[in-house]
Amino acid sequence: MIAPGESRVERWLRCPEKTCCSYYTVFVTGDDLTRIARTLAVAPWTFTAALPCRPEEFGAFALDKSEKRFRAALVRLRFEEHEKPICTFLVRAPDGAARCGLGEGRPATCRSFPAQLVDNRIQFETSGCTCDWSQVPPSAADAELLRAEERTRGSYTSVVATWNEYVASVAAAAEFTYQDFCRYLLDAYSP
Amino acid sequence: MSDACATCSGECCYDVIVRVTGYDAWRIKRAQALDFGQFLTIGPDTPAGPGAFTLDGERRALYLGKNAANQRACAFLMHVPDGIRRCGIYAERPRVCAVYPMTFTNGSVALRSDVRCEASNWNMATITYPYWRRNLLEHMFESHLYGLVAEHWNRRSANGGTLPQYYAFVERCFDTIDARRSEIGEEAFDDLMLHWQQAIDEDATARVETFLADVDRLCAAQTSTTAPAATTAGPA
Repeated sequence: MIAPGESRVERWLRCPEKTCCSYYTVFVTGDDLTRIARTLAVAPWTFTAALPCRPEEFGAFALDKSEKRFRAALVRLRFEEHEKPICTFLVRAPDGAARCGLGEGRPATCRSFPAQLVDNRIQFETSGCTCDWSQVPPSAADAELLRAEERTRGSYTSVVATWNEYVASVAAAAEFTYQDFCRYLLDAYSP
Repeated sequence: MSDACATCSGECCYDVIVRVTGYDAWRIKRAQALDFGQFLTIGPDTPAGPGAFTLDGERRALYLGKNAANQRACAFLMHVPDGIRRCGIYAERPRVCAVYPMTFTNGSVALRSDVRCEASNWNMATITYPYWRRNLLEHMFESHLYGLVAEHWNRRSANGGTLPQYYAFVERCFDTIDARRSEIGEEAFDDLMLHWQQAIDEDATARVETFLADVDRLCAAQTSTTAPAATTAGPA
């Protein structure tokens, strides 16, 4: 059901299914990871994991001198045997309606969902979503949000590049853990 | 979040019946885009407290709903890996949760005697007293405001009407009360909370009386508004 004049954020917030929280792997930036950790007072490696990726992917970080690279993503849990793994931060109202337990503190990519900037134009990428977005127009606020997200991603790229240079510069046998990388981010994004 | 809460597994969110004010419910409804009926339950006004409202001749109160799969846990308790639990509506959590486990004892911030977490986790020499005092004052003041709203409802009808009508009434009242709060600003509202029940400054006392008179007038205006019973009934 679509309420007249509903914005993208209102539409997403009201959705009781939130299939996007199980369909997509939510990759986070250092800004997301440290903000959530500080808000919840929880170590970032408890709610994120390092997933293998290609070196050219956004936010790809090294843990040793090899070519292996990883990206930080939110952990998904399977609460019931028959259910798909779902974002660890999903909560359900007593009637089953799904809501994000992070609220306004959710990752940038979740805040802008399903809007994306493609060639400087906003598109809705809704392949993992059961909602009808056809009547929800992108707004100027969406464009501003996406541009802010791009700036944050740019900063994260620099922060990760510094880390990767450091890993490349240490003794050949040195290995780092994902916790080392998270601690580096907490330091780099200190308030 | 306090250091004690940061190491906690959310014991206070289990086996506890959380009585909320209409203001709490209004905030959660707005932030989470839920209808009242999706997250509230109605129960008896026992023990009697502010904000009891009459439905079908019985005095009732608002309570936060439980997790559908685990009736011991709060519906909004969020499970993070490693057995860590956190509030999934932290920014707009009920005031009674925000003040836990503190209370006022003889005018001072003190640990509740029935605290469910380890009392030794709370170092009363190092807690931030202004933070807790403000939260407690806000809880008490908002409970009082909700009491005024419920009184208007109870006066309106001997039987109090239907639950959807009550929800609609509460929503309209807090729409206007919160708008008035925004008009006067956070600093002025803090001043009201501080001087409410403390007649140490005549000017401040007059400001409190003016604000409460405004609230009374705003609620009275809502009692004369006829709202369709189905306004807030059922999920969207």
